[in-house]
Amino acid sequence: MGHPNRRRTLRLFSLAIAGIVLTCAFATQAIAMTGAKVTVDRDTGGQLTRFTFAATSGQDEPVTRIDFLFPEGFDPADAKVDVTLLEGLKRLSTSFEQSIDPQTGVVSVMFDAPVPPKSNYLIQVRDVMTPIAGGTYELPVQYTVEASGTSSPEVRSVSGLTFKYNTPPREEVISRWLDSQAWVKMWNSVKVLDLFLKPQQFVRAVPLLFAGWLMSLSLVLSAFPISIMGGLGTAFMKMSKVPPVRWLASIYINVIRGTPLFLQIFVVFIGLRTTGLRFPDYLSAVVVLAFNSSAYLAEIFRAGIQSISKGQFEAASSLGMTYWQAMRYVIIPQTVRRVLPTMTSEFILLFKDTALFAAVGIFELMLRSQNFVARSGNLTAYVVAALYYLIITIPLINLVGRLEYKLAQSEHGVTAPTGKRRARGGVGPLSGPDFDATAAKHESR
Amino acid sequence: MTQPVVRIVNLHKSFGSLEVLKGVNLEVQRGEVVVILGPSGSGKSTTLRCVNHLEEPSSGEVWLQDVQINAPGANVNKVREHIGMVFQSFNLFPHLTARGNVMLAQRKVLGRTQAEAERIADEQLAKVGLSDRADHYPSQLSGGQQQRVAIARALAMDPIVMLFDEVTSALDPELVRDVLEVMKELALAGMTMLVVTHEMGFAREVASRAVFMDGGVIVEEGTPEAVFDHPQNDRTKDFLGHIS
Repeated sequence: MGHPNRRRTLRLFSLAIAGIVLTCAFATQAIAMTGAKVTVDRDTGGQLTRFTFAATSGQDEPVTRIDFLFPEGFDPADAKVDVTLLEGLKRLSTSFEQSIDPQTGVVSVMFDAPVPPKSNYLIQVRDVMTPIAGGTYELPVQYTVEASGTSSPEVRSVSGLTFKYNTPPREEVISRWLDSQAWVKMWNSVKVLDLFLKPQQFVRAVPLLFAGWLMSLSLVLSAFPISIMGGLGTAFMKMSKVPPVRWLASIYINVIRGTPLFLQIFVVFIGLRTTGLRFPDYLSAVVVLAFNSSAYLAEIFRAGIQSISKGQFEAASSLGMTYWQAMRYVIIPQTVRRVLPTMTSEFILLFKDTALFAAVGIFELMLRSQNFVARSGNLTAYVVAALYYLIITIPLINLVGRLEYKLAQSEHGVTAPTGKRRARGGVGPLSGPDFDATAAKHESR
Repeated sequence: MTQPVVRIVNLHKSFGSLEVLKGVNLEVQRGEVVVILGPSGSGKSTTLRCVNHLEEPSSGEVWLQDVQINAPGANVNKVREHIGMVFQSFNLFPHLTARGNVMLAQRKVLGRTQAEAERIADEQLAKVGLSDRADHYPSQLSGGQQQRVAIARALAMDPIVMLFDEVTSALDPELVRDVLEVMKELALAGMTMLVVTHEMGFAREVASRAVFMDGGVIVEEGTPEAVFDHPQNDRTKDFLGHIS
């Protein structure tokens, strides 16, 4: 421990030092450039970028030269400089020369005559190639103040000028690379290809529409299991011995099948809302889809159940089975096999119908592609959307064909040679008069 | 006289305005094989189907032992457990194997265990000569084989009476014999049977009684010899004259 007096002296001394440092800082601030900032016109790296430097020079700063010290990785070799100088509101017409040192990355602006103090600087350095990796970078700027009286020219610097941008996503990088390819230019010179199959738009649309594809898929995958339950329930209601139950099922089926899904969507999304009922969009969408599809599946199931020969039910009954036992163990298992192809077709239709939700602002595949097209003015996103739909529908269409073939085989016996041809011809076991309803749906949608 | 297994009293049945049965009376005793003959549309199949209530009688009574099956509130399913029926069109369950067909009702209706149902199924399939076809699906079997599976399926329920509804009519001639053979063995084993058929040879050989129906009533009945060789009724004579 030291002497109390010595301690006081020490404290005073340090206060004095701090005071001097602070004063100096303020003093420098007062004479140096103020309001300096740097902005970039791109939000991702790896491309030609325009840097804009804005600042106001100090009271005693007649500037003769400004240097931009681009950090490592930035390539200003082909940069061009624009300068706008304002003294107050008056535009100064000072001519200048630019010089670029590609090795050090320094871009210099040399004014022919010193710029008057207290001028506003707006300097744009265009076409600087930025490194691809995003982040926050600093652009040190140095400026030279003209010699005055006894003092020689002085170089001052402005530090802490930062700017930032992100690493471009992969599709962006690929798209830019495509921009530079000769074959892409040739391809795009054909107007139709450029409009519908532009490679650059294609690679951008694929990841962007993916989320929409997931949304469409998720809507239909949520709704379809509910539809199966609802459809089965409605089918049994339609076959009920109690007339009012039967009527209720009939009304439901006919109203739903007799009106466009588009209208049903509007009723739920707009109609219910005006009455004050508001559910989350996703939930509403699933409910509309399930409600719609249940009606179609009900008819598919009913026709399927009734297409099982009456003898099956009689055989089950004669063995002492109850109505529900016969349904559960004899009729339904056979029905499932029979309706599987038609059910799959219904699934395909439902999946495609999710596109209608674009009209009420659900961000599914169609709306996303529409937005993309609106933004890019290019129709390639529609082609990408089509491909996304086809990824699901083509395998399912094939599956329907195979299921029909298998079904025909099992019902006509393995040795029956007619099986394959009948399945291919679309004359499955379900194409009786009972299934006209389903056929009609295929045409009407 | 003991209680008849099946007793039909003054049975009437109409489909809309068409009266198919106009008062049928018939009793089947334990162990009897009763063959019902007659031209098509005479009501023989309808009579048979009324016995296990696949058709609901318009009036009259149908009894299985001491239970009236068409009484209001009767448990039809319970009664049906004891009545085996074989159909003209086999009606096997196409999604199940032969063994599965024979097992299903045993499991679900009688509540037998899987093992027991399987044992009985194999036993019954052996009886009809189809042990080697137990794992085949109906579509993989000939008509005759399917019909024998159907018989096994009915027998597995331990019925007190078996109904056969023109079981050989849908079969190719060379397959008929196997099925009739099975039915004959069944008759010899003492099963009570009510058979609608056009197989005169079978009727003559196996039946304990022959019944001739026409126009919705029983016209003539008696021993096969009496009905076939010395028919009393003109319509019987006419019918037999046409087929033989």
